[in-house]
Amino acid sequence: MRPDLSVNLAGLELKNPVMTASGTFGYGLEFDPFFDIGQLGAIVVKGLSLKPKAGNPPPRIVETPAGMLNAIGLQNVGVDVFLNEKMPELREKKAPVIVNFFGNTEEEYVALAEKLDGVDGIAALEANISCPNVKAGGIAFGTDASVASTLIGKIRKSTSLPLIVKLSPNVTDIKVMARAVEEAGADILSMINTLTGMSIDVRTRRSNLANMTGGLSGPAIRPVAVRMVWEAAKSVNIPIIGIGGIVSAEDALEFILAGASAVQIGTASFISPTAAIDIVKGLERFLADEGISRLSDMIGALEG
Amino acid sequence: MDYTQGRGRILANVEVAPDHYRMEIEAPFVPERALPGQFVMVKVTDGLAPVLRRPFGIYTINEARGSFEMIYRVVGEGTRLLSEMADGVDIDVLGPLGNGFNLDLAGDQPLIVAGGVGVPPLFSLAQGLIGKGKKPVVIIGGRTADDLLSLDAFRAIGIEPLLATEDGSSGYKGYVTAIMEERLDDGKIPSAVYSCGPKLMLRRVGEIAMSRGIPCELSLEAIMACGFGVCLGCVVKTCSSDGSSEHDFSRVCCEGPVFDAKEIIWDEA
Repeated sequence: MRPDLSVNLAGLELKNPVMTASGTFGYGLEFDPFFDIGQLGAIVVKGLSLKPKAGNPPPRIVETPAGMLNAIGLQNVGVDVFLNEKMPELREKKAPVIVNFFGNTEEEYVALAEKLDGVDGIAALEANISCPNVKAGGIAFGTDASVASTLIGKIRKSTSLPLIVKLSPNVTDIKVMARAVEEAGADILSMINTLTGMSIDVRTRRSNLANMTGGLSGPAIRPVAVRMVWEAAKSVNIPIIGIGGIVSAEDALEFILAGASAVQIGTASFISPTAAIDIVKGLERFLADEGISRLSDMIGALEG
Repeated sequence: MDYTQGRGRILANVEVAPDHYRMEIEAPFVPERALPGQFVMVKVTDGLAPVLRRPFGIYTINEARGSFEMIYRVVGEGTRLLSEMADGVDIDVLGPLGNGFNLDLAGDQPLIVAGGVGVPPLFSLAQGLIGKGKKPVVIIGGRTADDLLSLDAFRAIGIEPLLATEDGSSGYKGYVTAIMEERLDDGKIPSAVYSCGPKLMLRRVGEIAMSRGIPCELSLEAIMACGFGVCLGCVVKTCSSDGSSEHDFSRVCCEGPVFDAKEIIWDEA
């Protein structure tokens, strides 16, 4: 019998727990040549701002051991272009679309949430309060519990969609942040965003990134991410989406056992464009091989 | 967007100059659709070291053999692993990617200016131009005679490249751009200029061509993670397309790697 991969995250029903991570899947349509993106649990699109954003100057990325640093700077087409040019085609793909968004001010976050509310085809919003690569906004909202709490409270009032809040790992105690955001009205947590890092060319004595520092992603961060999901899962009562260096079904299951109800695939999609769908198939195979009928039975099923 | 990820098979992996290798890969989905100037992303290991694919310009497109060739220089761990791969081994290839050159740019007397590992991608361009009945002139440069790649391949299609080396070990002692300028000063005006090579060379080639009003296409290189437009890591500063901002950042992998010289905004230093 085919195992049941479906999960329910605070009312957000997904046919499987595999989503794409914002910033690694474009607006979804870029993956059309590779596979039917409608087979994924959900598509999380590149973070949107009210106005288009040019992003940081290059070099923007550098490879690191089992990972990479990026400092893209949230380059995006802006919410209007997304809604007018990308959303109509994306809607036809039959995958729930989750829109990641960010602002420079509380007002911008609220304006975006209002604008995206009720748009046909958008299943949920993901508030990015954790980008390490922009000066204003982003991580400034995600490293102080009271600042985050105030912001999320305001966003909560401006949308009827399920609200996911993407947490930064660049904090002293992830449990404090997770609880603050839950109390402020988040429906779901997604974690972790990238870890701030730096890489230097010793011959030129310059940083390998024009932005000096960047966000570390890829398999290198996975143990940190699993630990943080495990800690957060014990501290909150809302579902968690696990993110951080997942490249295989087994990696995804680490997060699920640690307490995540779903996962997002990020850097792996750069390496192998079919990574996300391969992980869906891998989960199905794993459950079938192990005689487990429902994936949801594995959520938080860590022993000991 | 007409590219595929699939397994290819290495047909040859031969050292053609010190630290330079020519690899032929059987992967029919590449030659079926490839255009001169396009590139592929190759995964050099199924493991995590290195974790990302590597971009390589396409050297020859062999539809009949279902294969393509690329020439690469060993510069780090990824290319070192690649250089050690044996014939017959499977390899993960994604491509063909990027836009490629416009073979119909202007007139039938194009000039090709190539430097270092920028030479091989311009060979398939030269073949394409000849196929259109054009008569390309080719200037090839390198640091030393050892760096002058693919000379025999050009000769085999009837082109005798003009040579420049920084140390004077072969051809003109100096830069390819000096040969280019001298020809222009002599009244040998090409109908179009195509170039691929080091950044400073590209910038100079573009400036010379633009100052004379000659259409010019430059193929750029960049560090990239994905190769198909989603990581946004490989951008280059370009003129604003709609005037709404000071500049745009264009993706070398999608809007490029070939750009009109007029589009590029070169940074200082």
